[in-house]
Amino acid sequence: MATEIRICQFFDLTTNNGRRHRYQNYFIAETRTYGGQSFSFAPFQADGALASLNGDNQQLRVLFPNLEVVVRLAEDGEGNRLSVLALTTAWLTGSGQIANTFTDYFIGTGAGFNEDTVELRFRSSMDSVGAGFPGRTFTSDNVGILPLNAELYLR
Amino acid sequence: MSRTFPSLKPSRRSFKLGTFPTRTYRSLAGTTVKRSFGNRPFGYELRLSFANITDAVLTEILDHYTDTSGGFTRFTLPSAIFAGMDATSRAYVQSPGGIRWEYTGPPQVESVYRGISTVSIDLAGEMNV
Repeated sequence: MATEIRICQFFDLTTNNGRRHRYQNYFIAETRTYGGQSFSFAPFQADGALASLNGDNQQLRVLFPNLEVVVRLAEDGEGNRLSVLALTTAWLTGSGQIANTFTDYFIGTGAGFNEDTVELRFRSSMDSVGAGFPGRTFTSDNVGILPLNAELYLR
Repeated sequence: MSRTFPSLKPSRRSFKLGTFPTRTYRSLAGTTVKRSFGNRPFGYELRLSFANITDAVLTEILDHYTDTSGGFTRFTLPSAIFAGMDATSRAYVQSPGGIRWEYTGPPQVESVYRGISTVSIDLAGEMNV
């Protein structure tokens, strides 16, 4: 018995200057539309913990080849600091149509370069739900300035 | 951009179609899950031989190998390389899905007679981003 799965990831990055960068990694040399937006092809891979029960402080790494457009993307966002990534994992049918999707949100924490890859590093955004549902939400009314990620220090 | 491969008709030609980017995960119970990572094949292979060519033709091939930095720069192949194939068959191998060719190794040259050689080259067809 064999099960065949086809997974496409949609990478929607908003750098801290407000620019959007949208790529997908399955349909080679094609532009695909998802959520009303166009995603061009880029050969990236995402690894790391994508979800957990607590949902906070998950680390994600997105690897790109060291292409000019990717270097520009990282530099455009000042080294991927405080960018916002919406990473959608889409299950595809045999004909390439999207069957199911899951979207996770991350905050950029930096980038790394070497001679052949560019690594964008992320942590999960502050969207933890935990055991209680609906989860309590930090607002600027009850905590003041809101944190941008889950790195909290209680003093 | 490098120049196209010289328009020569090979005396021997063999090719292998590309494979699709998939991975198979097998459980201890023997069941398998296959995951597809892309919608187009990659890694085409083409082997060409040019028998009993003159030194002038040999120089064209060697020049092309040097011009493409010996496998670093990809290039296209002219239709003459696929002489004898009809257009439908040629579409499967000449440039399917926009692939470009590169040398997988240096040309192998066998000297046959004064000024006459036989050359074999191995090419790989890969997709550009």
